[in-house]
Amino acid sequence: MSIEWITVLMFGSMILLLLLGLPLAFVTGLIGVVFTLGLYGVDGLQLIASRIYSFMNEYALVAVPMFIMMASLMERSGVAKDLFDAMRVWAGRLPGGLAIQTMVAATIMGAMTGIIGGEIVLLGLLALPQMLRLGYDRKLAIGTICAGGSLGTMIPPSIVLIIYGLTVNVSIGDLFVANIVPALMLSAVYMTYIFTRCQLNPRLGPPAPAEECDIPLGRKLALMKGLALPLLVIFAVLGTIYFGIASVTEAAAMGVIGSMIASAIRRELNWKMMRESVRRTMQTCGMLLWLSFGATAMIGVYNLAGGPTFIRELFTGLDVPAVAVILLMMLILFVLGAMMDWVGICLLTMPIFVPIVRELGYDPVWFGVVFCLNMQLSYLTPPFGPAAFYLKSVAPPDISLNEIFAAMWPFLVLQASVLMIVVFYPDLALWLPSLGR
Amino acid sequence: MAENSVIARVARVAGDAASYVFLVIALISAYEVVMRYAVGMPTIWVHELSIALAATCFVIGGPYVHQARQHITISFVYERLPPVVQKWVRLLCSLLTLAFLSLLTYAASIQGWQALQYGETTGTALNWPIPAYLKTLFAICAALMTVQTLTHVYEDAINLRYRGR
Repeated sequence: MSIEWITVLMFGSMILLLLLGLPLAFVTGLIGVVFTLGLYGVDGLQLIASRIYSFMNEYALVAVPMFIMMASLMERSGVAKDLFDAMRVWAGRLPGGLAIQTMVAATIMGAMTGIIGGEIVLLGLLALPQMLRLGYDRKLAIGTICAGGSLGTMIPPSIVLIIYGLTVNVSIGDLFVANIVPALMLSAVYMTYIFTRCQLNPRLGPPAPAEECDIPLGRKLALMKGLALPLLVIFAVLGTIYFGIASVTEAAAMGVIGSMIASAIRRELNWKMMRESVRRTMQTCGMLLWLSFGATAMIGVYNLAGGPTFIRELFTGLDVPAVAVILLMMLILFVLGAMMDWVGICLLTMPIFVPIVRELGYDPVWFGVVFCLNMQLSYLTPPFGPAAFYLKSVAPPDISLNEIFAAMWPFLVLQASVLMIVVFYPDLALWLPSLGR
Repeated sequence: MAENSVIARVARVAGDAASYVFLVIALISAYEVVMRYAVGMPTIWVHELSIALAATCFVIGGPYVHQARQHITISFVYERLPPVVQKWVRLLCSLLTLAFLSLLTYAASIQGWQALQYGETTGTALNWPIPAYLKTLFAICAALMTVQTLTHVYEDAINLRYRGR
């Protein structure tokens, strides 16, 4: 069978099976084993087993459960609530103040979490009722939470970047550092948007009543005191990675221990919380890793069949400027993102895309950043927009999934603009890591 | 129902128990950092052991998630199908899952058996038999998921007979 047909059949059947509702992990896995059987016979299956085995033996992968556990612990402590309350000191009586406060809290919380989900659920529970109570425009409130809550994978630590770094073999520390400026840009753009819209039409985001804004000094100090330690843990973890004191995995493990100590001092640590956190970690890892196993199987056989060479010739055969190839890749990632989980996309496309990106003279670290930005879009786009599903699980019942998706559009446009800016100005991502070298 | 079958319970109990291993990984990694910086005596075992422990959890996580049928799925087309078609699609998906997992189990068993036979070790300074252990565990978990899928197929087939949901 020619590689053209293999490509069409593989990706065609992938989309068909995905839409049928077969779990993603089994879609890619099934295609992997079926094509292996067809092309290389029964003995070829050994290749899949050994690829999966070597995948799970990557040391950097150990950081994944550690960061998930750190986030689970923080989520189960009162840190998020205190953080949200403390931000009120800043928000004051600004137009759209509460939404901006939510965005600031979301940005800081992003540094505790590396994965989408928990943060949106937390914000949905903490911030959404508050905004609705003040009479905020529902769409603005919903969009703020989904977009802000998705920042968790943009702001380091980021599981997306860990998997990307593993897949294409670049320094995860560099990726983390490179993501800082674009992540903060994204957050600043969101806040500017909220502020501008509420300035133009104050009814969209009414300020809190005066008496709520006056928090007594004692309460403010108490909030700050409770927050100091968790924030210290976050900065210690990230600092350790940036300055190369310990590996990403070790820093993440220290983060787990640090969060436990912080919650112990806040008198929140107990067995129930520990048990829930480790189980949550187990569940998330089970999903994530088996997704990866499936994708590894599929890309493994595609590699053997000569897929990457075929795609590279397809791309380089295009008589267009390099940036057009990158934009085409962004489009492909966007389309896949609407249907698939980022893990699958990363493992399937990056082994093919990144060599082309390198050949075109771009930095793979920068490409990791734009990939991560592209996945931000994928969290919000229907039909497979995880952000919407997470919020739906905790939103008041009268907020429908359709309303949530309808609220995303302005934020999607903002995300796409930031993505384009970073595509055309790679230095925005590469400047910060270059300082450390 | 399939969630209460013995096989589902085995996966649940194993996963719940193994989840505490994450805590062990955090503790030994922290120990390593302390030994390296405070004592100046880095260990030689933490690196390998933490990989093996994490991989143990990753592998056991498969059946753990599968017993609750919680692997990530795109359901927007499925949800728009008429209930009768939904039941057939569900059965078809379970059968496809069964096909994948049985082939995976086959491949993983051969890999595991070979590693076990030769007592495959890591080939590092420690030379622990981690590959033999992990490859065997992987085969066991793949087999466990295959049997789980059989219960899902059975459940979905029975479900065809009932009207409504």
